Amino acid sequence: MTDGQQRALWQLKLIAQEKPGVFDVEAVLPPTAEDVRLSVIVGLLVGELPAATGGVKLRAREEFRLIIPRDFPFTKPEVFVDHMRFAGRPHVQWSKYLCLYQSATEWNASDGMFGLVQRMCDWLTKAAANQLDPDGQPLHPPAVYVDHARGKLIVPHVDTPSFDERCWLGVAELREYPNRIEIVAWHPPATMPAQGKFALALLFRAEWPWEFPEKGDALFREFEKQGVAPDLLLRLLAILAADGEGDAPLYLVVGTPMRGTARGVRKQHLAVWSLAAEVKKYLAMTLPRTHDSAEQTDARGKLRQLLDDHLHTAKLTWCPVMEARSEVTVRRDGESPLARFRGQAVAVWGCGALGAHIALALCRAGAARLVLVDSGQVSPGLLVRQPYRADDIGSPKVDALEAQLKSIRPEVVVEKHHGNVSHLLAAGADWASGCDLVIDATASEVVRKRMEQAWNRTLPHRVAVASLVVDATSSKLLAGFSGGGASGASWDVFRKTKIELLRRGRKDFANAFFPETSAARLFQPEPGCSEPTFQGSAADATAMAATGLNLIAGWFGGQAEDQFSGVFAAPAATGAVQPPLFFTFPADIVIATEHHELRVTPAALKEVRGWIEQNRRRRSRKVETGGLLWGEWDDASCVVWVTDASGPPTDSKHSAEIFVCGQQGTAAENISRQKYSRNAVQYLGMWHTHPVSRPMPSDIDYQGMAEILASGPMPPTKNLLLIVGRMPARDVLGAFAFVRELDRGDWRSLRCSGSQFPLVERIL
Amino acid sequence: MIGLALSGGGSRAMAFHLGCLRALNDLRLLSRVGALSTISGGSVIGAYYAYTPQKSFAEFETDIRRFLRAGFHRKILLELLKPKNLVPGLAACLMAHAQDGIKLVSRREPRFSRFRSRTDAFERVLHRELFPSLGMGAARRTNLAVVIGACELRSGTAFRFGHERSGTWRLGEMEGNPADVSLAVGASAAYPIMLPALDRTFRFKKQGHVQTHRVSLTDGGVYDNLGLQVLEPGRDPRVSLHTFPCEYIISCNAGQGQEAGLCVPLGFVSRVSRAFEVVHRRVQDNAMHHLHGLRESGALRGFAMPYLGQQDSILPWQPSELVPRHEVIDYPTDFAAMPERWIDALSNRGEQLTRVLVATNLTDLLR
Repeated sequence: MTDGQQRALWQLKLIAQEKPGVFDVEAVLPPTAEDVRLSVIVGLLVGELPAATGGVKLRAREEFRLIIPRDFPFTKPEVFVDHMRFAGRPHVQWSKYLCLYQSATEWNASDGMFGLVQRMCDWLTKAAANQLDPDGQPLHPPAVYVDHARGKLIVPHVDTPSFDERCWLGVAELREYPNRIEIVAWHPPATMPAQGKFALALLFRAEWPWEFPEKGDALFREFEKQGVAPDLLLRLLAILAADGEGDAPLYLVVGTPMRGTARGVRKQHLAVWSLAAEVKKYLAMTLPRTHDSAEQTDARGKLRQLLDDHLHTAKLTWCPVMEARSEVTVRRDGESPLARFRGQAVAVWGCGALGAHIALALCRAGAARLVLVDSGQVSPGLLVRQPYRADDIGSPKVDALEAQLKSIRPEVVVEKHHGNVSHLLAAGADWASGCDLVIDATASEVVRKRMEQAWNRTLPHRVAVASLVVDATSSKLLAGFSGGGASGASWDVFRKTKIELLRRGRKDFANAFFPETSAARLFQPEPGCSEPTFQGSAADATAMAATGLNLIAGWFGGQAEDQFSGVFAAPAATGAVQPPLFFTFPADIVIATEHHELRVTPAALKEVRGWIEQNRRRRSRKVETGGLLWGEWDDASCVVWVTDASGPPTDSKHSAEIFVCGQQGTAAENISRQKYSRNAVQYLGMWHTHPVSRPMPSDIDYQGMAEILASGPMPPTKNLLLIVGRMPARDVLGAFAFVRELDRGDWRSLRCSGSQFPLVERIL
Repeated sequence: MIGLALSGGGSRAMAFHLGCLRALNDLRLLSRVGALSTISGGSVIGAYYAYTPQKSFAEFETDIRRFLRAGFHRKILLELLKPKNLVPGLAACLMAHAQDGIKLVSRREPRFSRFRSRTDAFERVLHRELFPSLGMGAARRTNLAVVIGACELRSGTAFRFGHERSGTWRLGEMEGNPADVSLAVGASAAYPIMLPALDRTFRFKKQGHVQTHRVSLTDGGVYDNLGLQVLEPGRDPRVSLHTFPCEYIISCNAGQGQEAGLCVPLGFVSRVSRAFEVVHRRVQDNAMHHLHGLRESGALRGFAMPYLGQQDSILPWQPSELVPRHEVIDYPTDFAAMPERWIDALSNRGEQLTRVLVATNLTDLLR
């Protein structure tokens, strides 16, 4: 006897000592060489327990056989009875075994036999009150003793059909894989497809015994009880056998209501009876043929009788079943952020360290369609952190990834483009490939700038776009997200994030993603001009991809006009954690001119309104005022971002007819703003008001612009002019981009493209 | 919710805050402020703004400029010289000092109350000139919660007068919120080195029990000169009488900042004053640090602190109109009459700093 078994016995004797007459240790059968388990017969005074109709009729005193394993208390003891009075009851298996614990985790090793005896008492109480299988408990299937050696694994994927009759009779469509057979559809006989593999399916409304029959005759008896005659069953099996492949077994799916009502309605528990290929062959032969002779008919009848006898006496082969039906299983990812991607179509640009992991996660999360875009091939060095295999080396990444995705979820639709994302954008077509979301994991500035150029110009129905970038050491992540109705895409949201980080003084993140100089060391892992990348392990890449995808999932489905971004840092080895930062940006006002696209932040407009308010307080509503505009002018994407608007410099001149913008302090202010924003915010041009007239540049404005574009030793080549003007019904913002022509000096040689934007709010 | 805190600092603070409020009004943010917390000089201007709902901002500014030009010193003196105040006030003053002496020897608490003091005179001036017959529950600007911060010297806790409830967590809530705005502002502004504490007795309710307590109310700046604490998110309403779900805080700070190191504090008053200033500055630095922490943790979505003593060189940019620090930094913090030139200089600095810092740190609010 092991120490554990001795302790178990001591605990039982202690209980008996504490509860004389209620609990007795009646016999102890020590372990033997044949059976190393300790058996203890105990008696329990049941007394008068509250009984209910249908409850187990208990005797005043019940006896139990406790089997205590050598590894007690780390392995739980088993409880048997030496009679058949409990057979057929819920949680009673093999007629005599009491299933007291739903799972091994319920067993508390520290409670030892004290806990076990308490469970036995609870079981008896529930048994007497007929509450062994109460409503509201987790779904509990009947017990089916499966044959792992002979039965192939069955995986039901689709929910069973609902039916009002006593029994639903039809076929289950099967899809066979090397390791499993999946049930992929249910068909009533009338709509059974011509092609495919099928199993006969019988789903019942009435409950079956707690334990499924192990012998054919018991099963046929049960079918008969439920209104299905054995003759009919055999005939149906024969019809199906005649249609199927010769060397494969024949399957019969039996559905019975599960115990418990976790979700209100009793769902079907599926058991699958596998009939050997030989039996199937003979079954097929019992079917009468049109030109059968009398001998043949007679022979078929005899064969049928033989088969009938065989099936009644044979031991049944029940297949192991692993449930994947949504009606009886709960997804492990539940309502996690990635649940938002279930059934969605997502394009993943870049199938590298981030993109490949993201595609895999999206596939597992249940995305219906994935579009993979990547121009690269799998090289040996990538295996360090990208989820490819040595067998994939030399293959396009999109091919290797597609194979993996299909192996995880065969039903996922994968489209692939083995080519450059940038070219996809340049083509000007539907670069989102009809998806609900594009995840740009290319970490390419060119892709982001191209997308920015395309964003407001090419796509009539924009989709949400997210971009992810990790820093050089893969310790920090930058994620940006633009809803389908946002004014800008990823370059835009990253630029705004840069400004916010610098405004908040978060140089840790700013230095990682927006360094002051671009002289950062490039890491090129392979000889030659290989793509520079970040340094980091598979764990780093997986962690960053997972974090980024969770962030994106959180933003996906938010306000379509909004942009979101977040920066996240992995905890340092010292345990220090930099708190992540998240930003939300509302849509800018987008004003398209002939050559440029202006994006004015709502904040800049509010600042303008504030300066107009100040002018009204200091001077008069009728006096013109103005100031300077600050932001960024990008010639590649042809976007001009107006981020801030400041008030009139002190040497400005205000009157009802004209506002002459001063210059005092502006050069210094420009340097300060450039420095703090790392060139994301600098001098762009000017704004002023036309309190009583249209927002059109006057001759004086043209002249002023010409002077600016021709002044100084290094005059600017372009200047922006915003005019807040008055139209009869509302205030209007006029936006004018002035660009110097080559013969500079003459204001008539300026090229001006302009447009007007009516404002919702009165600000003049 | 936007929380606005107006710090202490006498007339200097009033003028500085006037500019801050102007900028917020121009940006249409002032009307969006949901909670206003004021201290000392900030209480004078803050309470006047809150409790004059009928006045436009221009009228409010005109009044504040008038109060600043006139100052309060002369009016307090005239109040003190009134025959009904002069002799009893002097007597009470002598008794108070005598009691302090006796306390040193016998450790007994004074039995006499301090009345008709300079602070009482200040309160009466405030009552007459700024807040005639206004209780804390009087009509305020729409949706604006007001908390005027004082310090209760006996328990050493913050004593806050609010439009809904007043009191201190130690003693409880003043039964019926009986205080006048003038009492709250007077107590909040009673700088202890210059003005005696207000000696009052009130009934307080705490956990269902009502008790009478004597309180010594002095300048709220002793406890928290920025008035920030009450606006901080995460305060427990079971303990604190005033809690606000502030997402943004604008803290107008009329403090002087780093000293030039020119003062030589030889005498008792200059030594104690300097010590006070050092303690103030350190506490304010910590409060600022705490604000940064709240923002980084996400508990606060943003804050801006227009700061009179701000080093201009570390501003993200300097507007061309900015009144530099050195031009206004040495203006005293009393309530003496202020020349127009100073009102302009201090308020313009407040206005410009507020514009820059809102554009930098509170862009969320401009969207």
